[in-house]
Amino acid sequence: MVRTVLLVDDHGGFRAMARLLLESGGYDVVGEAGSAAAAVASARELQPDVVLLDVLLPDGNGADVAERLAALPRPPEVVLISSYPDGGLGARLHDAPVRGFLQKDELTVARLAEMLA
Amino acid sequence: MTSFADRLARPPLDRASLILLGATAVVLVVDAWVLATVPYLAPPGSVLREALFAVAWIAVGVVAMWLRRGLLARRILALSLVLAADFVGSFGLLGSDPMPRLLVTLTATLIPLQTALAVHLGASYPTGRLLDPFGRRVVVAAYAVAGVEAVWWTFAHVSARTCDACARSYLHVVVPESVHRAVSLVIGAAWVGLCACLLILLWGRYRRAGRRERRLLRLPYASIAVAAALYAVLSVVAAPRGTSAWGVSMTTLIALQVVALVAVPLSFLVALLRERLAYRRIGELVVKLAGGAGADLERSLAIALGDPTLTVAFPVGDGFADSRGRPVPRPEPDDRTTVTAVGEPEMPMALIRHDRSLDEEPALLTAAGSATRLMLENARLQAEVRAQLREVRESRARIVNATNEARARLERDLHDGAQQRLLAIGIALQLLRQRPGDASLFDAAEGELTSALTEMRELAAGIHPAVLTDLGLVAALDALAARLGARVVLEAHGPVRRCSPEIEAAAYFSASEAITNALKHAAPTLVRVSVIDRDDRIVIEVSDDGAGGADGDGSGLVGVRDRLASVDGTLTIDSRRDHGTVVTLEVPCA
Repeated sequence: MVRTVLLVDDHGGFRAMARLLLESGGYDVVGEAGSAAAAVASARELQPDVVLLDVLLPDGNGADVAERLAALPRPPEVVLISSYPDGGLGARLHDAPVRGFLQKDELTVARLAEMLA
Repeated sequence: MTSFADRLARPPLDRASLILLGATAVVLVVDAWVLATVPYLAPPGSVLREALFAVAWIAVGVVAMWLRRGLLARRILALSLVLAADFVGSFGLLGSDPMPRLLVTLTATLIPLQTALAVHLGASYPTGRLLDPFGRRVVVAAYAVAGVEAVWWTFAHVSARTCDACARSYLHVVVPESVHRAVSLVIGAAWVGLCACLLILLWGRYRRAGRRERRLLRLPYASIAVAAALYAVLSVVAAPRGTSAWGVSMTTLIALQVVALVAVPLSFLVALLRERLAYRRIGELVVKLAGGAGADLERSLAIALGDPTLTVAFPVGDGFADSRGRPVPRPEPDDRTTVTAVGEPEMPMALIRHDRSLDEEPALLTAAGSATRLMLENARLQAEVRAQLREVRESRARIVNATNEARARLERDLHDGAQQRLLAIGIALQLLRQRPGDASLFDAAEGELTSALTEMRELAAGIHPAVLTDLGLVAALDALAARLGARVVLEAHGPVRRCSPEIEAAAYFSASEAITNALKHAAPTLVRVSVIDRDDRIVIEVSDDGAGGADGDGSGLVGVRDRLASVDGTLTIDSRRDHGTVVTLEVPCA
């Protein structure tokens, strides 16, 4: 079964490349969002299986967004991504309702599949 | 604002007071001669009493004159003169010789005037001046009523009706009793009204007075108030009898005289002497300061001058600071306080804000100022040093903050820009391993790489442009102007020397901040930057044709000021609304 993905990152260049990467791994990228507010709205509308969520967003942080996504009627699986080792979140990262955390430079189809398995 | 310099010279005795005093002495001699040669009805006791009253006022007048309270002395001595001139005529002088008749005529005319003079004295105490319109109106009204009463009494004095053998006024005419009573009633009512006005006036002044002034006014005002109230009551009693308050029965008259003629001058005397005693505290202050207890000069001065609200401010830089170096607003006088400058009026060493009543004792202020001059100079220097230290501390904190902010901004710029682009390139390379021939991936990666390089270059130039180190200020500003676009034009007048790296950096970044500020806030069509090497300073002028009205305390330019101050440079801003802004930066370059 093809899994649908919502891509959340405020950097357009990175989103474009990540979309190509995910599609090459057989995922269906159904939407992109550049902010926390847009992420929650798109997830509610598109009901993706997976949300790839950047920790640092202009209007909020990934842990908060993950909590709001977990409260949706059909909560998606969330994987946090960041350029920093722990996304600058510290202990909050462990308490967030997410499947896992990936440093952006370690983002590969294989690692993602492993995490979602 | 007054200055100590104006107060140093001890003024001569008031000439008008001296003239009044001389006239009083002449009148007293005439009085004595009349009493010695003309028989009269009054018992010797009342003569002695009247003489004592006149002497009491004269004594207070002389003390006031001696203490250089010229105007007050004038008012008191004017009252003394009239008292001396009119008391003998009321003793019931017998016979019809010209001298007694002249004195009786004079007395009839002058007695009303003594009430008006007393009102004038009471209303203008303690300065002798009448500054408020209400007070002036009360006094003018008192003289008007006294004038009417004087004219009336000149022709219809009561003495003419009480004693057949007594000397008559030259101007005496017979008036029916009913007319006499009616006129006396009207005049009496006018005096009652005036007494009430005087009481209201004094109460209002007392309420507006500061603490020190209240303490000085309490006793004299109370005695004036009691005398005025008593005079009003006696006027009511006297009116139906067709006489004045001064002419009611002997016993009540004594009460009025005791209060009006003894208690009032006595309270004035006490107040004047108390003022004199204040100098002792200046002596104590000198001893205390000599003992090294000058740590809290402001408090010592407040105690010595009996004014707990006294404050001292020192001119520091463009503003003022208290003795701890904290910035304070320029001391301004209000309705209870005045400001006295110590030192040159144009360049005061200190400004002392004190109770208004101290103005009336210039000598006291002068003494305090002289005693503390050295301490004040010392305190000013300390305040200046403390203010500078405070400024340096604040500036240092601002610089540290600005550095931290700049680091955070740099980190954010790197994270949001180059780092994200490199990550995107990483993913592109990952994908290229799977699809080696994908040209769009190459294009995307190349685009990200070019953008990343541009951003890195701009960031590096923002941290410290290499051209500044290699080629100097003008080349760096030239590169900056080129980067910022056609709206920024650089003009270098003649060659500009190389300075030390920290000075060039301070000048470059300050100019850069000023230019960015102008572009951001003033919406100019042109920003002109000129660099001039003048003597041992480099002067950079950034002028724009924008909106103007720039604020030197705006956070952007405060940072510039701090940065320049760290290398002893200066910043001046000339910005009028609708006339553009000229920011001039100067740094030393040895």
